[in-house]
Amino acid sequence: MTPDRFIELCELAADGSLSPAEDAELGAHLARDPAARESLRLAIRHHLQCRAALLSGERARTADRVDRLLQARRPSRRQRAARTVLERLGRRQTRRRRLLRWGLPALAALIACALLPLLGRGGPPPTDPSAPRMLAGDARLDGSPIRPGQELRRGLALETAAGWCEVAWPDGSVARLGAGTRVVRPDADGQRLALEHGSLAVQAAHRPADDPLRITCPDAEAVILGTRLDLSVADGHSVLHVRDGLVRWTRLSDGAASVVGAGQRLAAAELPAPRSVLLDAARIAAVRRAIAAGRPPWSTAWTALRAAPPSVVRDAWHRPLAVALAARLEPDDALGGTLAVEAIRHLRTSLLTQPAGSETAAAIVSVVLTTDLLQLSPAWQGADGRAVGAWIEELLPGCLRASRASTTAGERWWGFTAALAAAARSGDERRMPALFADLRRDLAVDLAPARRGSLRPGDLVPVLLAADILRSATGRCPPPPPTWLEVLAAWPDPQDLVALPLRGPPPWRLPDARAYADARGGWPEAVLTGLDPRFP
Amino acid sequence: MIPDDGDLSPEACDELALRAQAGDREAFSALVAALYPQLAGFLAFHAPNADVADEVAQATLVMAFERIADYRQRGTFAGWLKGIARNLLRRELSRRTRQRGGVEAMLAADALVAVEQETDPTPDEALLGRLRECIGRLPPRARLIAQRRFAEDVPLNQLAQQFKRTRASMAKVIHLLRGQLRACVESGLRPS
Repeated sequence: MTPDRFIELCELAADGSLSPAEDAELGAHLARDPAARESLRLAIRHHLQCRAALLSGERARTADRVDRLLQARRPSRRQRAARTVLERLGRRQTRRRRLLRWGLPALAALIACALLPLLGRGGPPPTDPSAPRMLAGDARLDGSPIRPGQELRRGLALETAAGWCEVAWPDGSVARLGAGTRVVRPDADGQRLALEHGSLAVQAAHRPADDPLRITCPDAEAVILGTRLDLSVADGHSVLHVRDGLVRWTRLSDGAASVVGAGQRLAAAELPAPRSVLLDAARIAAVRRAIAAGRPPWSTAWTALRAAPPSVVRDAWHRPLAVALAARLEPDDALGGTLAVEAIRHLRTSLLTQPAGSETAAAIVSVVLTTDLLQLSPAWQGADGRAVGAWIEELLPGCLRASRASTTAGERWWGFTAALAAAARSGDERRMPALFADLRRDLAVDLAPARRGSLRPGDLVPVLLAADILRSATGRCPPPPPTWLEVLAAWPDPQDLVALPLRGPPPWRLPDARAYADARGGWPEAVLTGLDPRFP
Repeated sequence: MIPDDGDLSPEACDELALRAQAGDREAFSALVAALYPQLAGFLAFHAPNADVADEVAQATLVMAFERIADYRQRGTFAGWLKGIARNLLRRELSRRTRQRGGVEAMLAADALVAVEQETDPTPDEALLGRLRECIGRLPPRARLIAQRRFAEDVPLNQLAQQFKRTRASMAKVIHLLRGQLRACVESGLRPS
């Protein structure tokens, strides 16, 4: 390689815009010449130093950049590259179409007339709108090298050796094949790929519900409507890791299926996933979409959660839940993963301590909800689930005895809610309506005019939470006692109602909870876990 | 009151950190804006490309914001921030080494080794300041190229079009420019 060529490739490497051929050329040179490798490293370092010097030179500009870094998300290089290549392909096709339309119609007609009878066919195959095309990288299509822009036709296999490659669909979806991967495009309609072995990272555009992108593995199938995910197959066993969006993951042998959401990882062998107590993947995805679309109160609550003074989440029992919620709602999957690790660390620490007597029931509910959010995180271990189970088993009986004997309505109701949450966690759905009926009877007594004066707004929180958990687990919830809304409406200070977590399914929830949340904000976690954007 | 001066003493950093812990976002912004050159300098020494440097800088600031409650005021905020950046960079490089291919994976692997062994020194603000001075002394056209290439991240192809050169000759111009800047910095930093 000449020195000038090396300099040119170094600059392209600094840009991250080496073509696959240039990447291979430079890679081979660097492998042969360690001094060249060091030269490239120093060139890039100096490039970055010049960049840092210029970018950090002006204080005002630095502050502006810091603000942008804190708030903005740049599209990834892969997204930019995919967009550029697809735009180029589109332009090239348009140019070709124009040429064919205006430049050579007579010739085309002549050739068609001459050749069609010989070929006995209706002309060249039509462009397949669901066909992926090669974007970049190094791979072989049915044993032959594949060029960027080349279509992956039905029935053909694409295979990588030591390198990687990316294919893109016309809707902007991109799949990246890791080293040692083989995929086949099945002979069926729609956007489909079959992953036979290796690993696949997919960034899918939003698709209509009746026309999803389907990735089939030897033992399971992922149905994707607009998401980013990683799939890997080793020895015929598949593992799905969703980075963004929702994926329906179905085991082929028995049809066991679960919806897997952002930040969750699940092996096909572990299907179906443990059932969610309150915040299932679809609900979390709906909240994420509402935040991304800037819809209040979710977007405002999310901003408030991220900007909340740390004191809000310092409480030992509340902090893991707040951090776990931030992890599941974080749009940056790397940061979400880090937050999940932190939430798990906090939870493990919390489980080493015993809550104060009156806080035990609320702590149990908090731990159940935190587990609900974290149990499919890559960092979650089987031992964590067992530790949570043992901790609840140890504390729940004493907690229930104490709460039943309490003269404070709020403490009794937290006890009922803790029992309900524990039943939901263990999948004991038959027991849940009975527990809720007990709570409702107790509530009716304390809502009587003679007794309601001693109630505090915080006492109503576990009731709303219990109603939410019951509806989430069983799909229905009995209506509140007739005096419930009367009590809410007659609450002396409306500000207290804003402080309520705004939870509960209608008609339990304060009728204008949304309006309160929109107008005055509210406790961010309560808004994010209590209001489901999919329902009015 | 947020200080205007870019150089903050460790005590001033701690004071701003305390306010940030109490929820004062302006104090947090002022704190990280003052320390950003150090962070950028650290990443310029260790990241394998501008994308990684930006991504890690962003993740560092967000994580520092999320975990500000964990910081204990001992006059070590800059070190604490750099520690977060180092961990995130190590993770990102490790991911890229595993998941990317070709030259990018090779550069990420080299950078990972350097970060793990901590063999590379971190440039101080004086070096970046000197580099800034040297860029300021360049002739106007060369300064414009430096500005476009380094501050505005204009890719080589586009830069060549803007300056009506071939890609190869533009690459050579940038290479020579960097050589001049390196010589300028070294002459200025050499002890008299």
